[in-house]
Amino acid sequence: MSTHRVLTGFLLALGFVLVLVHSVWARRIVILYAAASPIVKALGVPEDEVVGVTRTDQVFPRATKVGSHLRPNLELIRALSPDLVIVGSKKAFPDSAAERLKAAIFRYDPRTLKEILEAIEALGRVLGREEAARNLVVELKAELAALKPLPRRPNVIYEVSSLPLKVAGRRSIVNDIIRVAGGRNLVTAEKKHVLLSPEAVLALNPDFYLYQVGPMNRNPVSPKKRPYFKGLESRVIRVDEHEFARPGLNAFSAAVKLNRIFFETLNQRP
Amino acid sequence: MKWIELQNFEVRLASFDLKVPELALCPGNLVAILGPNGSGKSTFLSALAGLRPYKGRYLFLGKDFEAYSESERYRFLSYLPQAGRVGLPFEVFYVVLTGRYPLVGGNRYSEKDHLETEKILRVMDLWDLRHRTFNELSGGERQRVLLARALNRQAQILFLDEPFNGVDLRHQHAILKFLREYVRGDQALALVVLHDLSLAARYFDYFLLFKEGLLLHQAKRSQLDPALLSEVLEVRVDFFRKGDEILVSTGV
Amino acid sequence: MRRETLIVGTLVVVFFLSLVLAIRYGAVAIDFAHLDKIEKNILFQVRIPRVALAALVGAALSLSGLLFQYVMQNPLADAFTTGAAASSALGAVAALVLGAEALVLPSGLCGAMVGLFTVFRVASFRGRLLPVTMLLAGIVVSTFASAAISLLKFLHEDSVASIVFWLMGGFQNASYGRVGLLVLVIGGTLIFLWKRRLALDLAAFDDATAVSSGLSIDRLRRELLFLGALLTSVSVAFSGIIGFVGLIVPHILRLCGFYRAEHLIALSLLFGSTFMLLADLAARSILPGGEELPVGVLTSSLGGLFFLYLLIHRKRQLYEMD
Repeated sequence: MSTHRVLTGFLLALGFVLVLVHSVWARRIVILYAAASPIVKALGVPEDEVVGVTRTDQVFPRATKVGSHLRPNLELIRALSPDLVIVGSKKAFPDSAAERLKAAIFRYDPRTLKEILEAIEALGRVLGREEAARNLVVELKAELAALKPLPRRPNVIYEVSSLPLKVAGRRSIVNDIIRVAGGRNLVTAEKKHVLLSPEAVLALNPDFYLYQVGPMNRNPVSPKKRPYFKGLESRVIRVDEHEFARPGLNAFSAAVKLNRIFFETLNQRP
Repeated sequence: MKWIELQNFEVRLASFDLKVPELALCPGNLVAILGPNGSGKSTFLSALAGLRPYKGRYLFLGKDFEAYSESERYRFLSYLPQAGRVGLPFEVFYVVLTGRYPLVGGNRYSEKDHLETEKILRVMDLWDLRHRTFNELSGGERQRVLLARALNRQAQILFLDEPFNGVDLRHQHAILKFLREYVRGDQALALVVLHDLSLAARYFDYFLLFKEGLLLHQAKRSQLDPALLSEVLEVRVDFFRKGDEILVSTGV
Repeated sequence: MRRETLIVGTLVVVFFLSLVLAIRYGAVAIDFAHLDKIEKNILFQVRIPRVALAALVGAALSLSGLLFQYVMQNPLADAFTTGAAASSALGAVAALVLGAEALVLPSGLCGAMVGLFTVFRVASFRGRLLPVTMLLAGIVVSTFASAAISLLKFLHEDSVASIVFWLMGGFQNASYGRVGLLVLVIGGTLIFLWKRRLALDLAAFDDATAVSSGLSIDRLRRELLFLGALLTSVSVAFSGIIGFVGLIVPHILRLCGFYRAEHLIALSLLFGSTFMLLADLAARSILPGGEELPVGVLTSSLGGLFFLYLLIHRKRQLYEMD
C-alpha cells in the first residue's frame, strides 16, 4: 500500500519536472490573449512554434484559430497538444480550465507599463529567450525617453464604449498609459471598466475626453454630437482601441503619442 | 306585420347544413326553440343575429337583413350567446350598462342609459351585486348579469341562447314573467333556446322544433302535440291540461 | 366615488413629487439656487431629457400593456408576457448587427408585429383567447427571440456589451428628439383610443357578444395590436427591454377599483410614468460614484416578484379567467 503511494508520488514528481523542463524548451505554443502575440514575436519565437491563436489574432496568421479569447475551444487546443498556453486574466480563462489543459500555463495580465516589462522578462524565461527579453525591455524603456514634461497635469476621461457609456477605471491599462503620458485619470473606481452617468462626466469636466474606436466601441457617435454631451467643454480626441486598450507593446507608443497630444494642446492654450 | 320572415334559409356548417324552408314570426310572441343537442338551434340563432353567413331570404322587420348596416341592426336586435365570457374584470353595473352600447351615439353613456341600467338590475334581482366584479360571481349570477345586459338594450327582437344556464328556479320564473311583459302588446319578439319543456309549455306562445339541422315543426301553444315532441326530443312526453295550463311529464 | 377621487388625487401628487425628485437627484448633486454653466448643462442636456424619456417610456409601456390586455382578453398580457418586447428586440438587434441603425425602429416594429400575431393566432380558440395558452405562446416567442438574439450576439462577440446593456434597458441615451417622437406616438395613440374608449371595454367580451354589440372586433383588434406593437417597439428602441411595467400598472389600478378603459387609459399614463420615474431614479442613485444600474433589471425583478404574488394569491382569478 505504502509503496504504491510512494511510487505514485514519484511518478507525479517526475511528471512535474518533465513538464517544467519541457516548458523551458517550448516548441508548441498556444496564445489565447492576442496582446501577448506581438511580444512573443518580438522575442524571436519562430512562426511555426506558435500553433494556436484566437480568431482575432493577426500576428501569427498560419496558426490554427482556436475560438475567441473569452470562449476558446478546449478540444481544439488539446488537439494541438501544446507545451505552453499563454492566457489572459482569471476572468477570461479560469484556473479550472487551465488545469484541464495539461500544459504549462503562462498568465499574461499586466495592468501597468511596469507590469508589462515584468511580464516580458518572465515570458523570456519561460521561452528560454532571456536575452531577447532584456533587449526588448531596454528598447521599450528607451521609447519612453521621448516623453516630454508637461506644464501641468491634465485631467482625462477615457471612453471604452458609448452604449452603455463605460469609461476606463483604475485597473485598466489605459489608466497607466494616461499616468505615464503625464495625465490623470479622473475615474478612480477600482475596476477595469466603469459604467458612468454622462452627468458625472460633465461634472468631472476633464481637460481631455478620449474615446476609443474599435471592437468595444464599434461606431460611436462623436461625443460632441451626442445629445447628452452638447455641453461638454473638454477637448475630444479619438483614439484606436487596438493601440490604447491592449496591454502590449503598443502601450508604450500609445503613452508617447498621448503625451505629445497633451504637450501640444497644453502649450497652445494660455 | 311579420318581424322575421325566412324562406329557404340555409346555413352551411362543417358537420351539417341547417335548413329552415319557411318561417314567419309576429311581434308579441315568446318563441321557444326546442330540439336535442346538435340539432342546430344555436346555429340558427347566431345566423339570425348576423354572426354567420347564410343563404336564402331573411326579412328583418320587413326589410332584407343585409340592408341594415352593422351598427344599425344591433339597435333592433339583442343576442345572448350561449357561452358568454368577460375576459377582464368589470363591475356588474358596467357589464350591464355596456348592453346599451349600440344605442350610444357619442362616447359617453347618457343619464338615461344609467337609469335604465338601474331599472333592469332591480328587475333581475342584481341590485345588491352591482358593485361586485363580474368574475367573482357564481355561474348562475353571471348568467343573469349577461341576460340583464342583453335585455338592457331594450331591443325589439331578442335572441336568447339558453339564458337559464345555472339560474335557479325562482329567478327563471321571475325572468320569464318579465319576458312575457316585455313582448306584450306587440312591442317585441323573443326567440329563446331552452330545454325545460314545462317552462316552455307554461310561458311560451310559439314553438320551433329542430332535429338534425332541420326545422321539423312549428306550432302554437294550443296546437302543441306531446307525440310530436316525443318524436323530436326522443323522450316520452305527456301533457296534463288543466284549463289553460299545460303540465308536462317527461321520461324515458 | 370618494375613494376613487382620493386615489386619483394621491396619484397626481405622487407623480409631481417623483418628477421633482427625479430632477432634483442624480449622479451629480446640483445646487439649484446658483446654477453654474456645468450644472446648467447637466440639468438641461442630460437630466431633464432623461427624466422625460423615463416618464414617457413608462407611460408607453403601461399603455401598450393595457392594449394587449384588451386584445388578448386577459389581464396577464403585456409587452413582456406576449413576447412583443423580445421579438421587437430581435428585430432591432438584427438591424443593429447589420449596421443599419436607421432601421432599428421599423425593424423592431416588424419583429413585434410578427411575434404578437403568432401569439394571438395560437391562443385564439373558437372566438376567444385562452389566457394560459397565450402565456405559453408568449414564452415560446420570447424564448425563440432570445435564442435568436443570443445567436446574433455570439456571431458578433465584440459588440456584445452594447447589445446586452441596451437589452437590459436604460434611459442613458435620452434626447429631446426621442422625447418628441414618443410624445407624438403616445399622443396619436391617445387620440385614437379616446374615440373608442367605450368600444375598448367591449373587446374584452367573447367575440359573439362583441360583434352583436355592433363592434367590428377584428378590425379593432388589428388596430390595437398595431398600436401596442408601435408603443412597445419605440420603447424598446429607445430604452431596451423593460419588463412587466405594462402588467403591474394596470393590475394595481384594477385592484384599486378602476375597471373602465377611459379610467384605465388616463391613470395608466399617470401611474406608469410615476413608476418609471422612481425606478430610474433608484437605478441611477443606488450605486455610489455616478455608476448606474440598468433600470430593466430593477423593474424585471420587481415584476417577477409581483408575478409570483399573482400566481400564489390570485390563482383563482388566473384560472377562472378562461
